[in-house]
Amino acid sequence: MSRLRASGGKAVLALPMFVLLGVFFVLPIAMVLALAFKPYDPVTLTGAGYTLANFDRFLGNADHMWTMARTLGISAAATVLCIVFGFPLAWHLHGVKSGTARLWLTLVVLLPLMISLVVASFSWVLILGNNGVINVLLMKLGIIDSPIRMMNTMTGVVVVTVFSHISYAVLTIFAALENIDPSLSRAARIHGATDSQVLWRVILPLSLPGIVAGASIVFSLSMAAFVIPFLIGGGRVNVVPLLIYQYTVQFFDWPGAATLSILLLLVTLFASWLLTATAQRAMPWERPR
Amino acid sequence: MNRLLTVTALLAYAALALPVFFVIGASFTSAGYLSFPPQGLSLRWWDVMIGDREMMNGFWISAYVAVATVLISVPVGALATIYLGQIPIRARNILVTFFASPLSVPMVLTGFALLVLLTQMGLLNQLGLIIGHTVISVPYVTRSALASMSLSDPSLPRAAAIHGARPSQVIWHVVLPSLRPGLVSGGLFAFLASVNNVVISVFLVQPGTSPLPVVIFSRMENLAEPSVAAASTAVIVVTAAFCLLLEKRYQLFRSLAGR
Repeated sequence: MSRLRASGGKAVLALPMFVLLGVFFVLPIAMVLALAFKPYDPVTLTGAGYTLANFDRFLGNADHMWTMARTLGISAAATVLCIVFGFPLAWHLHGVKSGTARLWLTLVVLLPLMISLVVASFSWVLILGNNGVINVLLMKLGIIDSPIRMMNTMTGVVVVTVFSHISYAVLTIFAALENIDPSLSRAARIHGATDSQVLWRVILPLSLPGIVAGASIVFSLSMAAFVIPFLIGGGRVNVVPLLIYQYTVQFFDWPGAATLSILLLLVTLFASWLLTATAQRAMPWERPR
Repeated sequence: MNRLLTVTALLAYAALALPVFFVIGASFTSAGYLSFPPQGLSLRWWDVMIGDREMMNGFWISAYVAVATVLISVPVGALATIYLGQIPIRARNILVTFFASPLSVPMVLTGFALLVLLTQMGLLNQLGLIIGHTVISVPYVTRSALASMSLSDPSLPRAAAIHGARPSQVIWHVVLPSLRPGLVSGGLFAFLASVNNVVISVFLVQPGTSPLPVVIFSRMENLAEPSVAAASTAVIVVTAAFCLLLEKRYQLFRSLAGR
């Protein structure tokens, strides 16, 4: 034991990790934080001294605030849909007994994580476009006369965001379902509960921690989504991450980009905290550890 | 109610799987534009893709950067996890959160921040790209390695030490093997995070050195030729091959599926 203690707490083991995250993650974010308080100068790009002007510039700009609201709206919608479709997926996967079937279905659930987001967005163009599969099918069936516009709309962005993030929701809910003691639903059934009562009153509340964990992952990722609004929104659906990219690469306004990044981070953290705190109150049996 | 859930689940499985088949199908079209179902079968766009220097170049850069990312993040993550296993629970919880933090910070912020730093360091090159990918990939390694560690018997390292194993022997012969499943799946996730990454890359690339997803990304902005579908299919095939290899060797997905 003393020997293990001697080896115990050898911080040198974690040194590479500390260097990696310290130098290439914490330091640059601290630089961005500092940059957010630097004035923007059209000539030298970053002026001298410190100022709050950047925050004024964005918080007072109705357009940019709408963009923030849109980002929040898209993320909230995507999160809700990820849970609405993710729960049945996780429930179904949980009920599959055969090992091989489970393996294949898990692979399907993981597919969005395995294919690149650009690749996925690209295939959704084929599905959602005016000449895409959905429109062609609906028109052939005579349900609609002219194609429904889904590309370059918020609807399209939300659909693809759900596709690309739903795996996280399914995986966390699935893990929660697997951890529920099966004798609980058996006990409920013996006491006369119907199948849907078992689901609503036993399974759903007990899987709530998984649902909340999944929702907060999906929400954070959606807030930062950048590729989907760009490719599916086609410039018509502006969101904060895209704005940050434009400020960095097109306007070379780095203090502006830094301020927007910090605002995005704060709003995301606050909304996630709100989600978790609300959920915590809905499940008093889950004591925060 | 249960039937409704099952029907929803089956529809959702279909929605998750279909896009992949659409891309693969669209890459074999003989028409000059993108469409699904493909208009006649041909390898025409595969030919265009292979002749496209930017795409082929991007393909190799992606592969190179992803492999380098895995080779750095797995050992770094493994060592950090071993350290986490040796410290008191309170300190461990704090560090676990810190080591996972690149996953909870919006990736645009990380990308932009790295651009700011690497510009000053003069590291805006392939090394910088690898570093950037490693930062966002390493949390996957620590997370799965920690999961493996929590499944293994914590008294084993102590038993080995009692029987006279040196600390380095304990780590090499006892702790590391118990982390192996986590390191393998963490390595896979790190590979996927790197090979599919656009957001970090788009901030850090210089003209002419773009990894494939960035090439596809910038092509889609302007014209979406079916050769993009061919390149996408190539990415899917390489990823699938990599996963299959790991599955054959380590039963990776079987363990993920839970039985």
